[in-house]
Amino acid sequence: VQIYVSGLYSGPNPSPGVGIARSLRLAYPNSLLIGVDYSSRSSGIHWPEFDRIMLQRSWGELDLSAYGDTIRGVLLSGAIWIPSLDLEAYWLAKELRECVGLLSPPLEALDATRKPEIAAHRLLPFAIPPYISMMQPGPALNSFCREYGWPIWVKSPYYEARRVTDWQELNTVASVLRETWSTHDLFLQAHISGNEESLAFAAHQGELLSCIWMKKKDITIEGKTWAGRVSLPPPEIADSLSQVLRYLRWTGGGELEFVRDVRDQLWLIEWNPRFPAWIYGGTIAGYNLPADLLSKYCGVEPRPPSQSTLEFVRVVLEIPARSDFPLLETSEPSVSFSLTPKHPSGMPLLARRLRGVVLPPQNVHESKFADTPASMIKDLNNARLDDLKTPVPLFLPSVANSLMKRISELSTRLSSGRVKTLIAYSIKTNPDVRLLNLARLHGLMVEAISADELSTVLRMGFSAETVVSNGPGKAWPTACSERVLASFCDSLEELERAIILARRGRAPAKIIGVRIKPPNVRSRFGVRLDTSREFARLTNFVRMIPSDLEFGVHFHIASSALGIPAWWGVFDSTLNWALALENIAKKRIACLDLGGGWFPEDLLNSDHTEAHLREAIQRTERALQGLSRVILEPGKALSQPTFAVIMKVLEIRRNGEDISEIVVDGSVGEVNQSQYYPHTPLAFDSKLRKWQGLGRGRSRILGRLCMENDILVEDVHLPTTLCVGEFIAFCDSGAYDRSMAYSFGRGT
Amino acid sequence: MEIVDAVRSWDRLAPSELMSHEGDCCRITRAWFVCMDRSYVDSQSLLSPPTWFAGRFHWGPSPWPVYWCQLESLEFVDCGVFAALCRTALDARGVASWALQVVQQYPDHVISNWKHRWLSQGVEPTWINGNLVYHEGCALPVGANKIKVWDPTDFCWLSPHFSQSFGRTAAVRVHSTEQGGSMLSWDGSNIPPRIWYMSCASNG
Repeated sequence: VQIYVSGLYSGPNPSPGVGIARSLRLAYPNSLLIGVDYSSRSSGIHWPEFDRIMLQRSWGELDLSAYGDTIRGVLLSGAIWIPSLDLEAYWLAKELRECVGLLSPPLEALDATRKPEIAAHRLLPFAIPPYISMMQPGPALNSFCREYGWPIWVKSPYYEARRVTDWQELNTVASVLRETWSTHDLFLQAHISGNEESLAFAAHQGELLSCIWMKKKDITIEGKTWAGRVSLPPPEIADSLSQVLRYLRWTGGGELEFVRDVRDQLWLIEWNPRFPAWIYGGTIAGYNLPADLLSKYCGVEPRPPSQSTLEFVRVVLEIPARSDFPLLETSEPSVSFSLTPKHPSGMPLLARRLRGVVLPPQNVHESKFADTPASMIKDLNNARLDDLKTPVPLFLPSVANSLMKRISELSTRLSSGRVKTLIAYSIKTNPDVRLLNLARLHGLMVEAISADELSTVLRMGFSAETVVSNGPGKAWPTACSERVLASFCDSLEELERAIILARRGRAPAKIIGVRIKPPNVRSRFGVRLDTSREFARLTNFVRMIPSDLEFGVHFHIASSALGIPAWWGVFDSTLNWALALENIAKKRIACLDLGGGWFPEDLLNSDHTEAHLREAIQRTERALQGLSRVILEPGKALSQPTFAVIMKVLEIRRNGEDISEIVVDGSVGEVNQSQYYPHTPLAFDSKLRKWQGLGRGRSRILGRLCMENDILVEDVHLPTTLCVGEFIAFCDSGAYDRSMAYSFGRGT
Repeated sequence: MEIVDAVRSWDRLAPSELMSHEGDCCRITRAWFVCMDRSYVDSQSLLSPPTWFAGRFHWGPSPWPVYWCQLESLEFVDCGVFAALCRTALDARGVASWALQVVQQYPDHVISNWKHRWLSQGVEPTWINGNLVYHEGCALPVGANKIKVWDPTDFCWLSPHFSQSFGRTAAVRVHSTEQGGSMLSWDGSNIPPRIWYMSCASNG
């Protein structure tokens, strides 16, 4: 029998073709094995166990209809075709339907196992990690990343997943994957910590023929299998799988990939419509799945497998290259982006060809408009736009007042009889006097990082009792003689100085504290505790704090950068350090200061966060008997939504009817945080006299500066009716966008 | 050397514990160690054995007894120290773990190199007996009478490997604190608690 096997690339990220061929050769020594591939760079075309190689030109060149006819002819001659490339399986399922001899799943089965939802998983005892479509607006994606924490996976719906660790990297990787796979329909998926395992199976017309479990014992940097241990799956999993495959009428090989977390929960991360590349590892273990498939189809008994060991490893082998496929000269290394090195079998090219044919069209989920909070719209509607000299930051008073009021109410709800929860407004996030006045009006404290900031708030009428002093330059430029409520030292040296001052009767604060640098977090701030010697020095200093002064502990990590789960991890860690310090130094901790750099909605629109805060504060109260204050420093949460930068459209660039780009008179000078988190952009419809939230799309907004990085938003939907001179508002620009705004390109 | 003779020679050895001076020196180091461990775990890794000190302490002969306050000044620590640290961390997290003693078998060339390393530093390799070696790990109960075994020195999970293999497990003693004598299942092998269990395979 003639058996065509495709997908022969055998590099660090291999396709299964060679493994399938090796398995079939063992079971059917006299079969005629024909390797199929679409690039002469697919190393497996040189594998000696193939009797013949049918090398096609690239997917980009092939006439798919004619090629479909060729394969149909091959199958009609009685041959068998085992596709081993995911997208080839999709195309064949559509092109040939269920043609006799095509040993791959029907289109309906492929649809039911399509990422990210993998609908068929509902019938199996596995969970799917949380995910979100990248067609959602940027703020929703950023919110997802914060909720689940970094790292996050960026995945193409067809193939390839990349792990990213921050927002900038996410955007870069998403842009590469979009380009590679010719789709905007990417998705983000939460990372699950654990070990990787796989379930491989063979099925014919819905009948499960055999299945094996594989635990990865070693993986490559790309996360691909390098060694594994094979076993039979638990009977209950095999039974469930059998039912699902019957329902799907599955034919061919398949693989389910999992992460097993530390609680033994299996998370399904991929369902591949083909045998895995490690399939020969199963054959070594005595389970020849490709042979089982062929045997069922042909009715010819295979040579029985022999089990040598349940474990397998991969090695790198040099084999003779086939003389009829001479190796190509490699091109000179290029720094420009290239599709070929990572995907020699040309799947990205096939993705491009199949767009709108087998795969969904490009813009199917495009979200044209985004929701915008009513209070923002109200404030924007009150602005007299025609009087504005753009670009201009516009204060949003209702938004600011609402924020301050809500945070003040939160602090009341979180306070108990013994422990008062206080909120400190971070002056550095935005020292605008309107915000500071609102903070004072709502009974908030302030956090100052310099003597200048302290002087400002004292002049405004804040009492020193409502000031928390932080950072390495508290006394800069000239130390202030006022004694504030709390001063958290950034180093042991500063703590020593504070103690000396206190002993001379000039304590800088009623509460002397330390900022702790969590050992597992990269930060330049706080007292290091990486060795027991550093911890011992800290305990000695704490013992020296005069008894009439209270002692406090502080940490400050931006939850927006770290992710919310990791921020809570730092909280737990800090509480442990505080307890240890209290026990050893015998100095009661009176104040715990939690610094965060929160996103407003994470703190104020989330019942979950409030419940978590309440539980954490109650736990802290129980653990630290001398605790009387918890100070929350939510950072930019109290200022970020309070300003919008209003800009005007300078130029509109079109691609056909659609707008591809606009240039505005604003820039990264006014929105300098645009690289670090997505702002909510709005466009003012001058005919309707109405602000409209801009959803996810394929256009971008460029700043006026002659600077490469002056790109304010990518992947935004711009209405085709937008005109030069109309207004664009960049919301969420009230924090560091304001306080770190700079003048550039103005000739001064 | 028969396994039974080797096991007999180590039978009176209790699992290693770090000693503590009655004073701040040891209290501070122990508290620091526990806090460091808690800084490196999150909700997803709370039940996983600690790996953060992999590059911080280096394997080699340590002078017993080892006190907590010596921890960071020792150039090398042996498997007993690693195992004691692992149990301390898990215990502080509230994760159950039991001391585990294991006898492993290695080929002559490995044994000879280990002996050389110990003797060159003036320490008698009493943990070596023929081609059998004494080693310590941590057993983690993971369900009804099931355990997983962590090697805190190599920072990997151990399998029973009772058959002939490089570093095969020749004998094991799990210091289970569970009442009763139910057998413990380790990767499919049944181990009686608190007594040495020897593999039936012969050794060289």
